[in-house]
Amino acid sequence: MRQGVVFSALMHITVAVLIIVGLPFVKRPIPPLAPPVVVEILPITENSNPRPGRKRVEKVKKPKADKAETRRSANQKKAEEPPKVKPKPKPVPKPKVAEKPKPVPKPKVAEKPKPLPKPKPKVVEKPKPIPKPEPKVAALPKPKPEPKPKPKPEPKRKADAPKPQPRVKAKPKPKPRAKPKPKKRMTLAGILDSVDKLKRDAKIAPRERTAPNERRGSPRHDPTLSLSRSEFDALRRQLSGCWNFPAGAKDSGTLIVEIKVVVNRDRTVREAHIVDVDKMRRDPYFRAAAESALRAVQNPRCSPLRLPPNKYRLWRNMTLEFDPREMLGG
Amino acid sequence: MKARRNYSSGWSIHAALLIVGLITGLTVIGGRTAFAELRVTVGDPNANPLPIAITNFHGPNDKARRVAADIARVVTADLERSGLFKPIDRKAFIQKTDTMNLQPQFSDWKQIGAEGLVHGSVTLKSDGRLRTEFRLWDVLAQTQMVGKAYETPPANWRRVAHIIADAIYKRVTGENGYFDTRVVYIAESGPVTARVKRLAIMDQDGANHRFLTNGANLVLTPRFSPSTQEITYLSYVGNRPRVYIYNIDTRRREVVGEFPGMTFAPRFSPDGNKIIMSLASSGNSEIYTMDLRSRVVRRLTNHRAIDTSPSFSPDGAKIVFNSNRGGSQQIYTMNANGGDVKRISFGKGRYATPVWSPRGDLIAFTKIGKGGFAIGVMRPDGSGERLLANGFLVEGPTWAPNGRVLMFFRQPRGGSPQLFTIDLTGKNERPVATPLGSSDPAWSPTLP
Repeated sequence: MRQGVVFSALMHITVAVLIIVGLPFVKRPIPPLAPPVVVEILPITENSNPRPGRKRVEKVKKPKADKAETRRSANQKKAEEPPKVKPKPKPVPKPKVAEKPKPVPKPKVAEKPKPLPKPKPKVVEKPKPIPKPEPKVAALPKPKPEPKPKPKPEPKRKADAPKPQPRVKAKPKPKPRAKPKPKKRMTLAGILDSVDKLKRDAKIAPRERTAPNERRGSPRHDPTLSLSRSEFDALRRQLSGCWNFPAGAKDSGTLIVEIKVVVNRDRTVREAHIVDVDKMRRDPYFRAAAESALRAVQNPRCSPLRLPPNKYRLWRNMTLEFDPREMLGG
Repeated sequence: MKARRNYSSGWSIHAALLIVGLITGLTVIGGRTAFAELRVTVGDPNANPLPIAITNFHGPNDKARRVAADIARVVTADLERSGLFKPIDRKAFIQKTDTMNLQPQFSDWKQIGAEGLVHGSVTLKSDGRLRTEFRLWDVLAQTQMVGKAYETPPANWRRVAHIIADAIYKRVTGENGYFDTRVVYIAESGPVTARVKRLAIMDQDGANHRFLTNGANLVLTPRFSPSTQEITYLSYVGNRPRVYIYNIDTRRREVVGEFPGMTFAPRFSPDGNKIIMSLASSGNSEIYTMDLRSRVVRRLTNHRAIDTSPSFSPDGAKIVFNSNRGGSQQIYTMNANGGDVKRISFGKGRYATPVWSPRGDLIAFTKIGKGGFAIGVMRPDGSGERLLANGFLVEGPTWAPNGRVLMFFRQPRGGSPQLFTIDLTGKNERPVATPLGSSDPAWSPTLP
């Protein structure tokens, strides 16, 4: 009996334990669906430009500048605010002169309570904004730039009242660095010294050059070095939509037209000219094809061109090749 | 001093090295960016017609303005019918046409979507002649593409309009125009059992229509000379079918040789000096050429099957013809001397009336299959067959002189035949207005 009770109790306990602890493990929970990994197929080019790992992202502190950039691009309106902001600093000098009409600042006063208190301690006011850029500046070059950044932010401050902008000024910082050099040259203390400094500068300089590209996290990777497949396709589709080719041309295979294009930063075409001018003079068919391609480039429906704005230096100069071979009746 | 000198020389060496290094570096960077210039290939163009604004031509007085309006109307109609241009409705125009003699306001024309712009003026000169000027502008490139002036007797205004349309067509497509051309065809009237068939001629747009024969004798298969204003055709005179040549200007008609059998399916050689035709005797037809000056006749085929419907290639080196020597009616090519016979059509159905394009790149034909008739084109080696038009009865393709458009006739079941044009895309089929039923068209070369 007792054995039976003990056995029964043990079994019950086992079952209870299984229910509480064990059973949930019998069936594994369905793993959450990971978001699909976007694979972009890049064209094979002569210069390899591999996508980097993520390691560097934290090491390099430039992401801050990047954030500023992205914020800037995302909130371009905000970036455009400075013109609106300009009036703000003006009221600042005004208190100094204490002459000009206050009504103008008044409408905006509601939002400018901060600048107003600042003007009160006229002398102290300037240092205050300076510390703000400092922490960000300090992240990279603490020692030398300190004295010189001060004068610079000051004149620009007028335009830079909003906080994001001082961050953006991470870029101008290199300039102050460049200035120390002449000082040392002046001293001519030692060639080795100057060479060392040049080397040091050289080491820093490339980092700065790659800085805007470190969005992806690697100083070597440059996402602006080539257009992605989808960016190519967007441009292609746009232009072929604007391209009317006279149907039924003979030997359309020989009518491939190359056009060199210079594009403005706002993605409108500044210049477009046909490469093979000689053939254009000789061959009326080619001339017709070339002009039809030129019309596609100049078509208002295709302006601005669908190009990634951040890769300007890449598409500033382009060669467009118009190939009518796929056309019916060719 | 020495030490200093050394220092300074050492410094300058360093500076020089630095400069050299910088220059090399910059060259490398510059070379790299130049090398990596972006290259984008754009394909798959649209076949949409070019939006073109054709203004009412300007005239100094009412009489000139009337002619000017007529000319602009004919130019517009010609370009529109080609399917390659889309004239923009004049109501949309922003810039007034009387201010057009200066530079056009391109922004006004760009705004209404025009890519081409035509404007011109008409003046009646003191000697009674008509002076017509026109300019074609590329609106997007803001340049003049072509500008010409013509002087002619006022009665010729229609030809001037066609010539202007040809100049615009040529400038935009690179291909010669075909608007200043004529068409001969068979005008049909009367009941089916007693059909009257007359030879008629008109401009390619149907204007200036007139009959060349009175209908007393049956006429068939008219063909234009590619170089002169002459027609060759088949006519039954006294129930005997024979090939004739008719001069449109002099209205003279002559028989092409006296042959024992019946002659039919005539066509000119590209230089207009020879006629190629079929001659049937004792139940078999073969292909012959006849030199129009020396009257020398030459036999090109010798086969017990039927050989007919010959047509020269534009360079005169090859002949395409129709034969049933392979068992069914198919298309063959051979050299101008009759050698090297090759079959080029291999599709299902029968092929008839092959015609070599004046451009040389295609052969048009009539295809007879189970579903009815079709007009198609293929390359001279038989590849790339495409059917452009089909129907219960479509037949008799003839090429426009630029080899880009075909004319043929279409006859509905129990109906009267009607001429149509179609371009090589097969998408732009247009009826040709004729006063009576119309069949068997033949397109003239561009008028001299």
